[in-house]
Amino acid sequence: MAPGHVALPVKNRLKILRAERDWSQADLAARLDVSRQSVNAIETGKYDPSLPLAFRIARLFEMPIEAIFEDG
Amino acid sequence: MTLKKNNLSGAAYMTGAAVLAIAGWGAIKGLLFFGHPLAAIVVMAMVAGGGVGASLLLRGRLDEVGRSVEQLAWYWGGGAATVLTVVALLAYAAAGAPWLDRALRGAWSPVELICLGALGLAAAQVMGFALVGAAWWLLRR
Repeated sequence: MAPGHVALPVKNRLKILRAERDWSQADLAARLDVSRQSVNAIETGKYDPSLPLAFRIARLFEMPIEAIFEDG
Repeated sequence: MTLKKNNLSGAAYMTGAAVLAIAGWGAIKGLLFFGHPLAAIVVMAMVAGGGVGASLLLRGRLDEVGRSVEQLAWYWGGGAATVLTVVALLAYAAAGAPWLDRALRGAWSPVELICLGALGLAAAQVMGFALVGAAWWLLRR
């Protein structure tokens, strides 16, 4: 499999959860220690985060991973 | 753009690389056209060395998405540039290398011609990497 290739797209509720907390993409990016463009790429489904990043996101929102991400 | 660890914007990094690659490509074309082989080879070496060096130096400052896109760009951009360059040169050779004296103005020594081939391919790979990486970020905004 080529680098960056993703076989199964993953849907996520990141944008909704961020909006509920009134955070901007930049706010969330700072909390996750990633760039704002990366948050945008994950939110819009252009990039599926790795398991460690998904765990960081889940811990930040204090929710289980499957409550944030679901496979397509 | 900040250089805090894991916080360098992959989009800014790849866009900057693409701009520099296009500028380098223009400089190489101009120097070849106006018959400055040594200068063209030096610029090719700068593009190739600069691309690889920047990639090694800045990779640690990219976040997860930036590193993933960079890896994808080397794979697809560098790979495609290699294939295209080899196919184009083979097709050119098969056609009898027409107008070579006009394409390569100036006096070229055998060593310079070897450097032209090696560094030309390396520079093409860096350009392919930069363009594919920038395209990923532009198309997925």
